Amino acid sequence: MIDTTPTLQLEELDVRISQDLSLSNISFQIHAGEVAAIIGPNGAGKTSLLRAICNELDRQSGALKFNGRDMAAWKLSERAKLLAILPQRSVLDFPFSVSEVVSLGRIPHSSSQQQNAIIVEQALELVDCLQFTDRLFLSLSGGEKQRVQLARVAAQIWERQSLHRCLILDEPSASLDLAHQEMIAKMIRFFAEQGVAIVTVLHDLNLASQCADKLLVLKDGSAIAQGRPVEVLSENLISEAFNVHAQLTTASKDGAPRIIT
Amino acid sequence: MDRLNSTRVLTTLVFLLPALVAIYLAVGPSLISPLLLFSSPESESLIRDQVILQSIRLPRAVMAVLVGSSLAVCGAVMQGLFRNPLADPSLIGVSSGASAGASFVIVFGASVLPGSEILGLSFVSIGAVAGAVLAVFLVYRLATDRYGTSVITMLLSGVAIGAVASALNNLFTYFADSVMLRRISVWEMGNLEGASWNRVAIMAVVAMLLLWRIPRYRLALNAFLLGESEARYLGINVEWVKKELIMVTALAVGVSVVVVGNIAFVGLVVPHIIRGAIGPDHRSLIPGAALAGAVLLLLADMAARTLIAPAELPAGVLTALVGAPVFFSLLIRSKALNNPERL
Repeated sequence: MIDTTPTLQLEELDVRISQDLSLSNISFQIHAGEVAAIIGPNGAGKTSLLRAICNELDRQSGALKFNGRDMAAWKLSERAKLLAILPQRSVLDFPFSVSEVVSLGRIPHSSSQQQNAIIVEQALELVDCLQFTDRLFLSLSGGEKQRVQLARVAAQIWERQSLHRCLILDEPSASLDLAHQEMIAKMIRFFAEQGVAIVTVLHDLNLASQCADKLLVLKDGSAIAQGRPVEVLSENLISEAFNVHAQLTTASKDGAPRIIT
Repeated sequence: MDRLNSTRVLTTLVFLLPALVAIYLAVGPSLISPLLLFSSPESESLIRDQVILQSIRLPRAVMAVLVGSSLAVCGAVMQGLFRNPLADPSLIGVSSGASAGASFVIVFGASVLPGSEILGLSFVSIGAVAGAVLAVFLVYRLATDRYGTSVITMLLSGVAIGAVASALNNLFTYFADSVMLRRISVWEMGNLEGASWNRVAIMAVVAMLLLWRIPRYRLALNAFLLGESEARYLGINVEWVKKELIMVTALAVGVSVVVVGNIAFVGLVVPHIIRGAIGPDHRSLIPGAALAGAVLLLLADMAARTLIAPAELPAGVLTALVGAPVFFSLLIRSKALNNPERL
């Protein structure tokens, strides 16, 4: 029997963020192997939605389930084996080496040191950072640090578990160059093919259109559209959400719409 | 990356520590073989030497080991918890609270309270523990709301409570007569002169508690260095860990202030040196800091006992005099090594 429980399920979620902004009535679900991209203008509540999903904000009403169980009912140590989150930016002021930073992702697991070392190496290879293994994290550039942090969350959910895994990324491509934005798409596909559900905030609409199965467009805390990129992306929607006049073309190889501004 | 092999560093320290204790026992106004502890001497002079070892030098050496390692471990924990390599137990008001409590009892309690002791601890010491606990409790309350404890607010309220405690301390000093002043200043400088087996036993209980509780949080502390949310994402029960670590370190530092007074800079410099040598991983940093803290305080107290013999310097003054410049040079070097863009 195929397990049809959504990995992550939000039902009419209402969350207060600040006096001026709250997320209202957000319903959204994502199944194993699906990739969802959250897009929207600055201040729309994208990062807050991710924090709400991680149960870091006070939920006012609605349901939030991970693997069919209420998110608040999960023991943190159990949840960490299945759910990895990459924040927009993290500050690390201590002289860890790159491989040590990535191995922090193995804290939730009780795997052996040798096994962890193998996973750390594979995760570093995935983000194209194998050459930095023994460097000090603090000596890397912003984009390189971002890639190492990506390897850390990858190492956290590297192995299959009995329940569905989920990866949450907040603007993973923010400080990356073109080649490494391509790497993000590759990494997302790598995990999606293993049945990991992925929720990511992306600024680059083309990258979102290219790698997401599902788009969620946020504006002022509400979902103004959601669905497959071909269904959702339109010149009208982009003008409504971002106040920008854009042209759409579907001339790309994969048939996903491309936005030209 | 120039780091030393952590196993090798820890092994070296494990062998260095007992050797140093032996030297510490031997050195003093009269040179005594530490082996005398294990024999039953016949001659009168040897018996006298044995008594010196047993009731003066040995408790003092054990005290230096216990206090040095406790302070260094507490420093490592605080620096991890606050994600700040410059944090130190005094930041959350422990030391200033203890000083204010002690001064209060010295100045106002002398007429009321008898000079008697409980378990070898004077009423002054009890005042100090009360002051330390009260200060940490206030700092913790100020920084905690229903969303949890904010580390930044804790640092800030630590500074504020520390300032209030110092002001109170000054106020009490203002009312003190010259005998009280002398007692206050001797007490505040921190020294191991009065180490008795009673006090060693009290410190040993606290040090054991510390060395039993802290190591189970070594991975949590590693995760903390990434940030509190990140630690939570890695499955760490952040609020619980913070509460327990703060309570245990406050108790350990508070009691160490009571038994030997303020020993400056050990909690700050030792974790810093060890981190520079073997990296910030708490799995080796905590045992490394415990061993190196013991070594450092033994060395400092040995110098304090012998530099101007037959008189003595307070060990706390010595650790500050040596610690501060060492710390400063480390800071400049590590800045240049780790963060070229910040220079």
